[in-house]
Amino acid sequence: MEIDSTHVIFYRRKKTLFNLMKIAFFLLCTTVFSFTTENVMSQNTKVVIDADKTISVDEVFDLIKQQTEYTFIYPTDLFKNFPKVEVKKGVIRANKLLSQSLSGGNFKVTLNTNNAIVIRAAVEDNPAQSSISGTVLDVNGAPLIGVTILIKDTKTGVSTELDGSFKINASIGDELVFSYVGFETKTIKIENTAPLQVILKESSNTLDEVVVTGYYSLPKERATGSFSHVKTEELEKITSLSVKDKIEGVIPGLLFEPNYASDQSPTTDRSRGLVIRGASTLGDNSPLIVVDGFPVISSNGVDPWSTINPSDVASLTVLKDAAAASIWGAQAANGVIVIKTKTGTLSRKAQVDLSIEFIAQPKPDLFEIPFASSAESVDIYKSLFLENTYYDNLLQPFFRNRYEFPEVIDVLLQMKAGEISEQNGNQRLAELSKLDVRREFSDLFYRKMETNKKVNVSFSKGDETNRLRASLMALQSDKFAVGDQNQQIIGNLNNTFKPVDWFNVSFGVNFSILKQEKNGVAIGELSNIPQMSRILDDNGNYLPMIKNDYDDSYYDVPTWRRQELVDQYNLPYDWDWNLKRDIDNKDITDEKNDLRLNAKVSFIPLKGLNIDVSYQYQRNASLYSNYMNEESWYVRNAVNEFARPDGSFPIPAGGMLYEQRSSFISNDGRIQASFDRTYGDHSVRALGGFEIRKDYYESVPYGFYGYDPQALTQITGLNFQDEINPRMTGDNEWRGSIPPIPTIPKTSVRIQGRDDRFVSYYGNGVYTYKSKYDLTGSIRLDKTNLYGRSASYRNLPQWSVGLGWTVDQEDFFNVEAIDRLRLRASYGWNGHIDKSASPYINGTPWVDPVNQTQYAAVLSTPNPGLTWEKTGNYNLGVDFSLFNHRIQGEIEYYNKQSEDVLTDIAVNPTYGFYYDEATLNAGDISNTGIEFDINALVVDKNVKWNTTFNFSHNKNVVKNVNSTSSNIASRTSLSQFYPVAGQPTDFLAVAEWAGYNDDGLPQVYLDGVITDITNISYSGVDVDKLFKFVGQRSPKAFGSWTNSISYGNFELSARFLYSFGHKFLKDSPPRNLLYNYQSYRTFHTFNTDLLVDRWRSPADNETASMYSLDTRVSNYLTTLTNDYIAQYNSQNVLDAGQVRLQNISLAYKIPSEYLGGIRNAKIQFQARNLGPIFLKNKEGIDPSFPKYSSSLYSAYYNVIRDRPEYSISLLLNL
Amino acid sequence: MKKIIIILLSLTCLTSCSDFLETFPKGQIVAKTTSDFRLLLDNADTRYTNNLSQTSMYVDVVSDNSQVAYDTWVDWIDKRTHVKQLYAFESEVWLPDGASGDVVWKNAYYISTLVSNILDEIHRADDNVRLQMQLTAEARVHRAYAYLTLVNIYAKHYNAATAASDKGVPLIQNPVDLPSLERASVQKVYDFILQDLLQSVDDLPDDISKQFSHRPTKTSAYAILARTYLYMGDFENAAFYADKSLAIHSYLYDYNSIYTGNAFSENVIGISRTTDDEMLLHKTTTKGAHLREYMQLDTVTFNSIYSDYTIIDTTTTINHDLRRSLWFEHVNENGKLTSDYVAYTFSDASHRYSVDNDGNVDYTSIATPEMYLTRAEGNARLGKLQLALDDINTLRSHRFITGYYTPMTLSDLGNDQQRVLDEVLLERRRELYGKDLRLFDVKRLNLGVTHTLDDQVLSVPANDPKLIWPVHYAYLDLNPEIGQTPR
Repeated sequence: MEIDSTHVIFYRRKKTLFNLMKIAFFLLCTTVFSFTTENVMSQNTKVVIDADKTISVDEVFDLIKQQTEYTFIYPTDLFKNFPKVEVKKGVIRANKLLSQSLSGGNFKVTLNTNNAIVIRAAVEDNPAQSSISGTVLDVNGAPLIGVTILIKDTKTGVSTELDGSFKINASIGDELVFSYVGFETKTIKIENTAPLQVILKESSNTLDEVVVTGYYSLPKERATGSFSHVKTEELEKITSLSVKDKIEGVIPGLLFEPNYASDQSPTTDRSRGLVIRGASTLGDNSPLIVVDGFPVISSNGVDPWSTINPSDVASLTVLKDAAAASIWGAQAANGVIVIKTKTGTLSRKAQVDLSIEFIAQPKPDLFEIPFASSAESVDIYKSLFLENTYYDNLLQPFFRNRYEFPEVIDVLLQMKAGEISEQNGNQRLAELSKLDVRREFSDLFYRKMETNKKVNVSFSKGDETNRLRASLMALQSDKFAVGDQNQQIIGNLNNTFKPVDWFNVSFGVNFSILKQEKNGVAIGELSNIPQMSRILDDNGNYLPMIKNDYDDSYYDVPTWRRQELVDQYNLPYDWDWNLKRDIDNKDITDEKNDLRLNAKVSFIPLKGLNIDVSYQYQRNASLYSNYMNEESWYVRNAVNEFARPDGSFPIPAGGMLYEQRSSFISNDGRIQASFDRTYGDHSVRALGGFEIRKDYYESVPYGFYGYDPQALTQITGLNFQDEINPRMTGDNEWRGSIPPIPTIPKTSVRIQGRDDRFVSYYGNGVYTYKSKYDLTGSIRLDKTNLYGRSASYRNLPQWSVGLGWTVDQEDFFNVEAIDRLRLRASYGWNGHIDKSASPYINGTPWVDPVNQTQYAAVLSTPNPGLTWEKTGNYNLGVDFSLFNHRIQGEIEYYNKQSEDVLTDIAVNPTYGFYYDEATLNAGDISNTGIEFDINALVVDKNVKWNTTFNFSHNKNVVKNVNSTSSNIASRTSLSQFYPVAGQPTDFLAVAEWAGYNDDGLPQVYLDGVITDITNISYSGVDVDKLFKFVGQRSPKAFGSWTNSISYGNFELSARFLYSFGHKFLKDSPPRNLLYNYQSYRTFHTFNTDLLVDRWRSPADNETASMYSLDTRVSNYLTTLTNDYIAQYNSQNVLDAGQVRLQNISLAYKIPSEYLGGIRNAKIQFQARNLGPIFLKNKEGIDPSFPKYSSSLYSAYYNVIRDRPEYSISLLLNL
Repeated sequence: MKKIIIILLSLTCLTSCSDFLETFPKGQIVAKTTSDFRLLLDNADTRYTNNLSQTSMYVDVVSDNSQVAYDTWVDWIDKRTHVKQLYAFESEVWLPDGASGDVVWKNAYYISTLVSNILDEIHRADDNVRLQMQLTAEARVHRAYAYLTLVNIYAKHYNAATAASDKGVPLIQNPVDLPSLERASVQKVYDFILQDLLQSVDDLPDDISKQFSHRPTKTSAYAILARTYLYMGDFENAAFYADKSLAIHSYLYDYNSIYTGNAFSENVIGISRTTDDEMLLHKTTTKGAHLREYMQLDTVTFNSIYSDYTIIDTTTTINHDLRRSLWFEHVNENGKLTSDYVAYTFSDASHRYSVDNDGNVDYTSIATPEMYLTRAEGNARLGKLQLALDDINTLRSHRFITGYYTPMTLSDLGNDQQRVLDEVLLERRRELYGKDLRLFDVKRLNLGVTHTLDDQVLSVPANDPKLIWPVHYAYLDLNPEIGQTPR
């Protein structure tokens, strides 16, 4: 279809509905071409038209001839098939009428001296022209309708048909320009007459040059601050269940914080805490996450990342400098990650995308935990018992009658007491040394493989008035532990309706329904059961087991004594404990539902002025449910334990239920006015807004005794008030009443609630002169409830200013190789205050159960001297693009000075703070760094090789420390609470190792003198002389190198992560080892591997893995010093420098001839988390997942985390 | 039209915002008015770890009032290794698998800090000046009580000659500044206690309804003053303030009225801290601590202290002193001992205070009997022997079975001051058993202590440093300037 003129269109469609006119007008804007006929006739020549009518071009010429002095000369058949023209009643300038009439064709118009207008077909001038045809599609292969195609530097053009096809007369060598609203313009040179297939990329969301701050979007060439942007394609290259994992290593300056001993709550997630540009606060460094303009609040254990379907993400922007905080306020002191979700594509034909992912991980290998083998352990126990005096007190009849020991201890006790022969004992020990419960544990409780199956379907459609996108994701995760599984559905729907130019409204819904079954074994159970034991007998029956559990001393009562009580008092349940039996009877579910609704209305009351009113509702509801049936230990133990010798049962037999319901509701509203106008060389873009938010949280626990999940009945009327004493076994001092809710003691039962409110005012502006110079500024004021009366706590405006200079736009700039060069600078101040630390006394209200009077308990200590934590931040950047955009990159330098940093300092309980810690302004922290990111298309032939390298360097130094302490712990295990001036926040300090003394105990250099451990006073030593600073725990330099090579339908990509400049500690003996071996109760279920090669004689001085156990150190403080030195010494420090192969994937695009109706199909294989390929330490220990036996906790979690992940995924565009 | 809507929308929101931010977060009270401070000073809820009423526990395990069986001692190992070590006079007390800290020390300093914070802030709560003064006074009394407990547990006993140089405990008035924790001298700590008490007493009400027995009053402030002066050896002031306290409140239960004659567990009437008329100020052990775990006596010691009983025949004994029957487990209704050890149960929630429905703590309140005894001791030492004896007679006549007690006369004691004093002190040991005060008397009266453990006899002489609790190592780690008491 050739567009000849707008009138022609209207004529063909016969006066369609009026509202469609606007659309047509919109098309007109993109397709109208001006003609040279404008100059043919005098501007004053007019023609009168008597009525609305449709006439042929010949009739137009007649009309002009009749009313003017002009005549026309042209070939008679020139306008034979030319479309008719619609004219309206009235007066029209003749040249306008003429130009409109001829607008559809390509004519050469000249005026001769007789006022005769000569018209010839322009085609004659270009005899080489031929008809070129083709189709225009979007990236998903959907046809694009109405795309304008122009021959470059001419006014000749066509637009595409409903099926995206077009036909144009053009010459070989011409360039065709394809343009379409909302898409990137593309230019193609015609090489031959073969049909063209042109694919246009949508520009509105995926345009990589757009910075999305959450409040507004800004073309990147106008930004002055530091924004890192990740494109959809980048994100889609990685198969992962979480968006978070997809950005690891991609963004310069964004560190995935390594897990060290200070990480007290490791999760099984592969990815960990995020830190942007170094720690600038000593508290929580996690950035704010914003989705579609609103913060997604983490609450109630719901990880914001878990509610975001990675397939919905259109773009992700990380805001790193002062602009971030002045845009988002105090909540953004640690940086902001802004996620924009996809919206409906501009395509009249519905697009359906389908993806199927299968992700698998091997189960954790428990033998990777550095424990001594069973045989080695038996030897260790033998030497402790038989050659040494550890455990001697267990020989007393009192202990032997009262407690039950692991079999290996039992045998050794009998041997030492001479009750069995040495031969007999050794034989039994030999049997035991063949037994390692890890094997049975793994077989019984673990799946062969952890699997995740995910299906994602999305639907998208859109035109100028309405854009719709809907997606649905279903995920089934079977964790490595049998009984642990998740099912999740995430649905997302958004619709933008724009009925008229000056108004549009959009709605969005995102819901996540997550059901978790948590019936698997906890890996920590391993430390409760003896290494040399069995769980099931040969016939698969439960064996009575013993459990080492400090929390429930009833495990201490020997099985045989519990059984006696059952028989004596005719108790309802047997009283054996078996791990498998408990796991088999677990029924714990945790449902977490997250709903986000948002609506936005935009008006344009005046040209250039835009007013947005938006609102988001977030609701997060969870239900944790633990049903304990009559086979579970908790039920059997509780009923038996509370039983009275008189035959009554204060806790009735029957199942029990504990549930906790919690909900979090956030309401967030915003009114924003923005102004965007260009006056000649001046362009102004400004916005101001007002935001209000309310977060409300509530949690209610409840539970029932004698609960029957089928009948839904329960037993009521229990006496929760009176103490029951003595308990059945009578061994225990602990007494108490029946827990009002099963498993929850009386003191923990409480309804929890929170009501946080925020009001913010903000403003933002960009002024651009001549598209070369940009001045930006932002300011924000946050207010919240709780801060009491003082204005200084309420009002701290945060601001930033920035300058940008696009050098390549300058006339004087004329460097062929450089396509783009821009310099940026920004500076600003932002602040942060910890809401939990109030300058006023804060109490939690309760009711005293005895006198029924309300009172308030003080939980946080007021700190009248508390001030805002303030960070001044400047950023310098260069953006460049070279060799026709083959190489692109940016370089940034930043300097962040944080003053009065708030931190939780562990304080002496003598100061009387409730939690033995206080939030204080601890000192100043400085972070300086350089980042660069470079992307190059190295080879652009049949094989395409694209490479991206990024590098971040951060120098973190603490200054002006306000609090000091000088004990050994403050330099070692508690160092994160005790910053030292001149050192990084995460410094590592060690004592200089000086070998072992004659007794096999460590020696160190103290002030240059070799000093025995026993001569170092734990609390009196000068730590400055004992410890030397050897570095930091987080890397100074880190980044990634990503390569992708494509050939034909194949694409291979790999990402390497590197980090250097940091140190870590390798394994060390567990704390209190010496002491614990002297305690009758603590039997170690597993021994550290280090014990095998421990110091035994001076011959081991060089090779011993740890100190001697033959020397008993009875002074507790010395054992404490010994523990610290054994861990924090120069021999134990290793360089953590490393390069890892993080990700490798191979994608194959299935050729369209095999696809039938399917537009596109891609299959991708990927392996992630493949481990280090280069380590700076010679011992081959992976610093990211060091396996410590000293802290079982971290050993377990590092074994779980350090697993490769394999996936296969299929993507279809229907 | 659309502009108007927008303007209206904006205005509605802007005008309502000031109210919006005035709402305090749920579940929190920000202390602004006297009624808020009233709430803070009413925290006596023993279900939780920290409050104004919890003071000490296991103090007397160091004293001669704790004589336990070997298996009882072994049981302490679980979570209270320090108790075990203290009892055995071990040199290392705080061991790694013991309690997560020294709860006694922590609780006392929690009170000290809370009071300091309240005193810093309460000047702003001037909506009710009278109440403001009363609350200020209450806060000071709680702090004085906490320091009196601390200085007596962790330092040498007050000795006027050396108190100015003897190391006491850290004295903290500005906790948020995290000051250095050098110990103040014993003298300074006592001066501070007296200053807090004397400064407060006038602003307190005379007495208060028993519903609020946790709130300090004149009568309880006088009582704490009396105790303080007694420990300082200022017997004149001790007797003077005991007398002032008793002038307001002198009630004693006649044990005949609460003795039912039934088996032990049904003997005692259940009362509450809201009804106990002897109580002057509600104070308790720390959370989870029970006197009966360590307030045990072997039968020989028990019979020697509570000696007023008669043996009728091999199956019947009559307890003249009802404290034998009411206070101790393993004494049956015939007065016979049924075990080698008897355990004190009178203050706990299973018996006397069974109305108070949570057994997390035992009650060690300051009560009228102590005032009778303090006055008696003061008078005895000052030579006012008849007055001293009168108080002892009053107390005993309320404790003995009617008809089994004949008041003592001076001539019975040969008019001898020392014998009168011995009677007073013996009565003091009897009556204040289970109040965690015996260790202080042991130190004050220069007594040695002997414990038996299995076959071992463990003794420390008078004024031995092992009668002083050492400071938890973790606190010394953080602030070595505290300095340990050598053992």
